[in-house]
Amino acid sequence: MSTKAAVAVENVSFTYPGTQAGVRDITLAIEPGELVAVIGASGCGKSTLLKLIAGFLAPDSGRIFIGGRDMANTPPRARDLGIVFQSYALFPHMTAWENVAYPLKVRGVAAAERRERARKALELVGLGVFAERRPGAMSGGQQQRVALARALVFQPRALLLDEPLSALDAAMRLEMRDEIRRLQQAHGIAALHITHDQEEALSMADRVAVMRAGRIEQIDTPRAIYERPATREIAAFVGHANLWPGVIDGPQSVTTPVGRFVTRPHGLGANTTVTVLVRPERVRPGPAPDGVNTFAGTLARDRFLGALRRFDMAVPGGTITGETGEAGAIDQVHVRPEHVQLLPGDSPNDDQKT
Amino acid sequence: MTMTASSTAGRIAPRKAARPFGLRPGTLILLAAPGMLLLAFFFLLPLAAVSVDAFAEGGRAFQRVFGNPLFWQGLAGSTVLTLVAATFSLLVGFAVALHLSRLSARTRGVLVFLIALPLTFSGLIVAYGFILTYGRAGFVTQILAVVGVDPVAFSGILFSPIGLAFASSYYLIPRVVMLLLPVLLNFDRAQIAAAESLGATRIRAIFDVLVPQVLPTAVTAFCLIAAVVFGAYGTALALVGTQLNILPLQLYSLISETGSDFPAAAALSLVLTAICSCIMAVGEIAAARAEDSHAHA
Repeated sequence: MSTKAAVAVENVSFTYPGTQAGVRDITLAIEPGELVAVIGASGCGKSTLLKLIAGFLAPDSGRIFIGGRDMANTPPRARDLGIVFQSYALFPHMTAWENVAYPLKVRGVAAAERRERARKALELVGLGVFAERRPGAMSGGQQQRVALARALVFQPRALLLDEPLSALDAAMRLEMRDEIRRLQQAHGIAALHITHDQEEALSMADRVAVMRAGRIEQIDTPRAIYERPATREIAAFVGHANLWPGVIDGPQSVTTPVGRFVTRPHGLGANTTVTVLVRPERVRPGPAPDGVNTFAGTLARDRFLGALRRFDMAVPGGTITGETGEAGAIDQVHVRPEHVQLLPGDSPNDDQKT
Repeated sequence: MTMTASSTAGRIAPRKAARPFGLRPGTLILLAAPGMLLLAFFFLLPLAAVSVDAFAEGGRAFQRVFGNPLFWQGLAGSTVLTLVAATFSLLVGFAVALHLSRLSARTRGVLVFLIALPLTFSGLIVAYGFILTYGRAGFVTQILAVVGVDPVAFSGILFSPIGLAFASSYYLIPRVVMLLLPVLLNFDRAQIAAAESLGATRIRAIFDVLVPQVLPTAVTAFCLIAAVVFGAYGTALALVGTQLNILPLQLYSLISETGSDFPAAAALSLVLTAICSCIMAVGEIAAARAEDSHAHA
């Protein structure tokens, strides 16, 4: 565990009383200036992790360090964390600048100074002219910016973002992704971003932690998470995927219900059960020049996605999903051996998951 | 509603948009008519009749009311009773509403039903219920007597202004709960968490964040129940008879006793109505000012 980490979580476990829900043995470090996104399905424990770091819950075991200081028995108010809540949690009876000035007020900053700092913080998020408005008179995106300004104005040690974009419409979400990233980098602050939106996590984060059943299953860069998922579940959760159960039948091949795939040398023993992953964008229309990993079938579904089309091709034994920008009929597809990934074969009933 | 060419092009017809539920003004008047008729026949008309009586002697009835030291003593008694009962009810009602807001919808629904029950009883029933429970022969009084509590002294509390305030709270607290519960249910608790994460203690978070949002409704609730208890006489009459000097019981005496002074009773009725209306107005003004001060802080 890095000693210079802005936020460090060491072997933390927590179970909600009377339930099995919670988090198990979480270890995570966020370096200064780094944005770590935590993704996972509902109930996987990602919000619980945030509450533990924020001090709203106390771990059953393990330790949490913020700025190198052990946070055991430290209440939320003394943790020096800026938190943006899913509902924004703005104070509706206060104006935008009063909301932003609130953390300065509780720290005893003089009225004139806190007003000035709050106004500057609002200008940084492009809301200088809305300082006198109350949250009820602002759009979701504007409220989000006020919440960000409020979380950053007192220069906290780290920023915690609890699904901050989930209440926004699609266009505003895209805009706010860039805005959050810009502000986080401008402040050089460590940030933990909780989200169930894998695209949001991949596009914003320096590293992504994938949680499942209370545990972090994999933590890595967005590219690594996408291209080298540790498990079938991560591959299915992050992006679209063709997933088939497979059995190793040679040093560079695997047999699946849809046929035999040639792979790169994999070093696995014969008859090892695996899960075969092929991302749809790696499925190319037409036969391979050398005929390797070429499958013939009929087009079952064809979806227009603008720049791309996503198609399902029915082949003997299952379906292969692919993505292409090319128009025209498709009756064969191919996959290059280096794009066939082998994951642990932990789920015997695997089927295609896109 | 017919879509015109201009509205389909993106322009909105303000006159149509301003209509509540898209109803014509004539339809709205028709819908309001039953309420207006009730107001006219059961408030304005009786008020006019009482006013005629009160002013029949050229205002001398008011002189008799204000010139009587008993009126001022009654006003003081009513004011103290109102302040004690309304303050106690507001505090208890707030605590109950806060607790209810944290329960599951199902449990809350059952409890709200039980809490609302006292509203269906008349003041007399409430008074008799209290007498049977806490009166000289009440079962609680008898139980306490076993452990040495003097039944006369204990039941005497019930038949005092304090006892009356306590009994009044029985039907005032549900009113407070009904008014405050929606506000507390709509309150986003993440605001308290946010305030704490921003550096506030729990107590400060409550006073900075929760209290200002609840205050306008709490003031309104206080004034509503204050007006109710100020003018209520059923419970008071049943519990303390005319021994306690409060204005509603003075009014009762003016009408019921031999040598009834109807003009003075009418004048006192108008005074009571005016005081209760003023209390309600204070509540509305206070709530409006609270909103306004937050808007311009």
